[in-house]
Amino acid sequence: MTRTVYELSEAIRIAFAQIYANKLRSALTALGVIIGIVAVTLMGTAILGIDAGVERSLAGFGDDVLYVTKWPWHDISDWWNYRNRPEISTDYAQPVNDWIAEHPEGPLKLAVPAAAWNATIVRGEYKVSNIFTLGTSADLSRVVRSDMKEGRFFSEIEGRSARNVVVIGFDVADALFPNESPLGKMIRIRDQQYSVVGVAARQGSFLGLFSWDSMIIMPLDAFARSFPLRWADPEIRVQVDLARMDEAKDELRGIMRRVRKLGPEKRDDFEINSQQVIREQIDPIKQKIALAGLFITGLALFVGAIGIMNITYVSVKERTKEIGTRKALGARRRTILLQFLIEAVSICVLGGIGGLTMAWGMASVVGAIMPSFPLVFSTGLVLIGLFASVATGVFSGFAPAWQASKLDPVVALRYE
Amino acid sequence: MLIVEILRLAFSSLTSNKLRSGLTILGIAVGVFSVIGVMTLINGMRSSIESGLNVLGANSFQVSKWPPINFSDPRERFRNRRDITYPVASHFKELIGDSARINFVIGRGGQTVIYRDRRTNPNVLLLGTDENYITAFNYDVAAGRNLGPDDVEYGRPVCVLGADVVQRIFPDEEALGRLIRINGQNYTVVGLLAVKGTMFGGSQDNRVITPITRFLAIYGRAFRSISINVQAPSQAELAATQEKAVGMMRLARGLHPEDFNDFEVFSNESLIEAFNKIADVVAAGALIISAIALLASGVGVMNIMLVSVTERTKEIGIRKSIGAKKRSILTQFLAEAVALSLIGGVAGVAIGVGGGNAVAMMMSMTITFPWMWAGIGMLVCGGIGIVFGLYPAWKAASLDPIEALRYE
Repeated sequence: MTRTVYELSEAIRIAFAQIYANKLRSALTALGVIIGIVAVTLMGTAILGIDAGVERSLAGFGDDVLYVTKWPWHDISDWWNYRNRPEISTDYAQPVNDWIAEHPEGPLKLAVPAAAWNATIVRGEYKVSNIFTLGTSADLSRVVRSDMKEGRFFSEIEGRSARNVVVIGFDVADALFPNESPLGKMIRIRDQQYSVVGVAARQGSFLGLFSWDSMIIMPLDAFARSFPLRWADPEIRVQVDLARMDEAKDELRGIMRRVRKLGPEKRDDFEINSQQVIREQIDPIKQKIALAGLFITGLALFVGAIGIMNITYVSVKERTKEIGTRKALGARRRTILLQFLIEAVSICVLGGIGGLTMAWGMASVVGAIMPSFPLVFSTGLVLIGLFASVATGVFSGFAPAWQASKLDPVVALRYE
Repeated sequence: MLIVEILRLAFSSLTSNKLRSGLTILGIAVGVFSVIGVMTLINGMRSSIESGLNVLGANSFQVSKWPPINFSDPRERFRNRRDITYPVASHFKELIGDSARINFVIGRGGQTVIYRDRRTNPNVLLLGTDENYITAFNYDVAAGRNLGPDDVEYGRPVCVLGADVVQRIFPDEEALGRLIRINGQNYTVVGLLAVKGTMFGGSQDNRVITPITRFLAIYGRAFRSISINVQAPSQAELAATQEKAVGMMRLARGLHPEDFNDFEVFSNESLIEAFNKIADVVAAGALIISAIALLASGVGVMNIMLVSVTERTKEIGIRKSIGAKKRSILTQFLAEAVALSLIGGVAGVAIGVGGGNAVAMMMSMTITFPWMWAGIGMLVCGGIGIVFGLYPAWKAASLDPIEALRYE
């Protein structure tokens, strides 16, 4: 035991003495690793960033919400089979809520009707167009997990009595009310005036994916005054018990079939969507990007590894005589192997630490210049980076170290 | 003579350290592979998308209300433009006269073609057009005849069927001369189009063409805008024709000199150009990422050359003391570095082109050999040899012969 510890500490001491003795060579070797680690780590941050951006956008949908719609969210090639389905009526929320009241222990929790239209919003001389305008009931505030920056969500009474009140997203507030609070102020959509009761907290957007920041929410009946409900993609959002998702889907399907009065032989004429559908479409793309990116940057790390292997071979060759002497004095094969392996690994770890520091610096700079691109620099990534550099060292140092350990002391001592 | 000597020296020292040279070359090869592989793949994607964008016939361009590809401008910018109506289009045709071939197209999607008890899915595109449609959009007539000028003039209820429609409703039956029904209107089949294939996964054969006069008589204009295809007599006259067409279109639309064009003009080339703007950004990003490995391999070359100089200090001392000039030592080591890089480069180009095309083939894209990138790859390799070999070579060349001879 003590011998192993002694061998190890001796090997580390020799390794660092070697690195110090050949400063330029070690630095250049480490540089190869640094380039590789920087590339891989930055690619990792970008991939994690894309992940985070997608997650942030999906959070707007809520992972515990089912959407009852006419059209499925996934791609379909036989759209004419769906075209003649009857529209979803916003009244369907009522029977679903009745069922929930009868079954307080059921998997469904709350149903909310919703309809949406892209509208142009005017306030004085300011104007924003193509804003996602959602008409819904006051219960929506219990379904979505979004905080208010200021003000409040519209109330049950306001919802039922179809008052012209709106909750606006962060970007909309920013565009229409620069440098002032929008609360209590009026905005105009088509021929109706609405008063702003709340501003949603900033969610941030990513690659043009859906974001709460550029939308406004108003009571459904107020919405119906300005827009044709039938053409506004009416849907029912149902909050469910996340742990009993499948049960909830079946239950909701049963309720909808009863509402639609479908006979047992009829097919569903509605679709139950969840955030999962979107995720299934995005995930393969994300994986392909990640795979390609990591493969290409991994090549850089591989080149760095080749450099280390090369230099360790040189190092073994140069010190053939030293190895011979040590062996003649009784050093075991393991000791020699360990010594060269530790030399290679320490260069890699030094390079890895340098590379991670540089990558962290670059990520911070990019984050400061482009705040909209969510780079994520996590501890997991640092650990993976360090692990990758140790693995690189072992992978590339093993063959030369093995060669060194196999040297015949007689031949090695004679080597000139 | 001297060059031959330098090359001989370089290669003999490369072969004397086979393992070391081999590893360095491998590093360069991997770096070049990364660049060439990625670029081959991107080239393959580009050429398959570009060939998909070749919708229009030779020497022709299109005048329409809507732009064909629009990524940035809001829809509103184009929505408020006036539709191109039949009178405006006819006026335009008169103004152009004989200097170019003109073709009008107006269409309705989602139609069902019915023949007796057989019917297509409700996704057939019905186009009202004229006899020049076939040349304007690169179609061929497989059987029967094309629409004729008199069909258009008299608004005859005739049609030419796309290959998909024929396959669907006349699977093993002569289609010519039959009466088909679309939207309650009967049309006599006078011709069949040859298969054109798909674009971006969408079939271009699932369509029926009929005289535009008939189409307008049945459906009216119904908020649709006519697209005009103009075919110049030759490539040389394309630019002049396009200029003339823009002027005549402005005249037909009654635009004032200060008004902007309220229509779009585009050709295959302009479509590809618009697409290339995006592809260039992607390619630049991929180039930077894939070149990182090349940089790492350059560092490897420099390191190995430094080792080589240190090991051969004595040899350099001897050469210098018997009269070798500084320049010849420098060239000797530079040649060694460049040789290393170039050999690696050749290997990398070979693997890269092979690998990139293999992936492109798996994704069923066009196979290309990126001559330009192969050439650039070799140039860059030479450059890497020079840049990263320069410092070690310079170090060797400026050794003091006395010190070098004494080196142990």
